[in-house]
Amino acid sequence: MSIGALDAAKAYGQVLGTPAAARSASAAEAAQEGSFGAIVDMVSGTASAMRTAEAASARQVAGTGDLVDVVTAIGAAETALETMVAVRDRVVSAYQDIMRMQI
Amino acid sequence: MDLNNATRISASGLKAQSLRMRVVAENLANADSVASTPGGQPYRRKVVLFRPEDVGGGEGVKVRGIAADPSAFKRTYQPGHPNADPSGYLLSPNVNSLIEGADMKAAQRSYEANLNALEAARSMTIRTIDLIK
Repeated sequence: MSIGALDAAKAYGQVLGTPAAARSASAAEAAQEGSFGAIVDMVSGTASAMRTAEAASARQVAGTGDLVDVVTAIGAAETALETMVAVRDRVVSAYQDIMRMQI
Repeated sequence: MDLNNATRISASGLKAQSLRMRVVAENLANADSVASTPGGQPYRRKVVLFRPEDVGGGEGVKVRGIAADPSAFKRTYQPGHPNADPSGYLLSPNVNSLIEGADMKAAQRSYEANLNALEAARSMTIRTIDLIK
C-alpha cells in the first residue's frame, strides 16, 4: 500500500473532481492499485451514511418518520464512522512509522 | 455484511411488533364502541397477520394484513340503550380485555427480543472494529 502525502492529495482531488458515477469506477481502479483512493471512497460512504441518518432524524422530528428507521440509520452511520476512524488511525500510524524510519 | 442484514431483519421485527401493538391499542380503545345506528354492528376486533419477507440479505417479517375477528359479538339485554335493537338487545364488541392483555404482553416480549438481537449484532460489530484499534 502506498501512502505518500502526494497520493493522498491526488486521491482527495480525484474524489472531489469526479462525478459520483465516475468516482466508484476510479475508486475500484484505485483499490486495484492498492492506493489511498479506496480509503477516500470509504470516507464518502461514511458521509452518505451520516446524511441518511440526518434525513431520517429530520423526518422523525417533522412527525413523518419512523423511530425504528432513525435508530437503525444512526446505528449504521455510527458503525461506518467507527470503522472509518479505526482504519484512518491505522493508516496514519503506519505512515508515521515509515516517516520515523532511519535511512 | 451479515451483521448489517441482522440489524435490518431485527428492525423489520420491531416495526411489525409496533404495528401489532397499535392494533391491540385499537381493540382496547374500542372495547366499548357500540354501533352508530340502532341494531347495527359494533366494533369488530382486529388481528394482525405476519408473513416472512425478503429484506435484502435475509428474511425479515412483514405484516400481511389486518384481519377482522369473525367470532360472535356479546349480546346483552339493555332495552333503555339508544342503540338497542327492537327486541331490546344491544350488541357490544367481541373484544376480551384479557386476550388483548395477553396479546399486548406477547408483542412487548417479542419487541424486547428483537431489541436484544439488534443490540447483540451491534456489539458484535463494535467488538470486531475494536480489533484494529
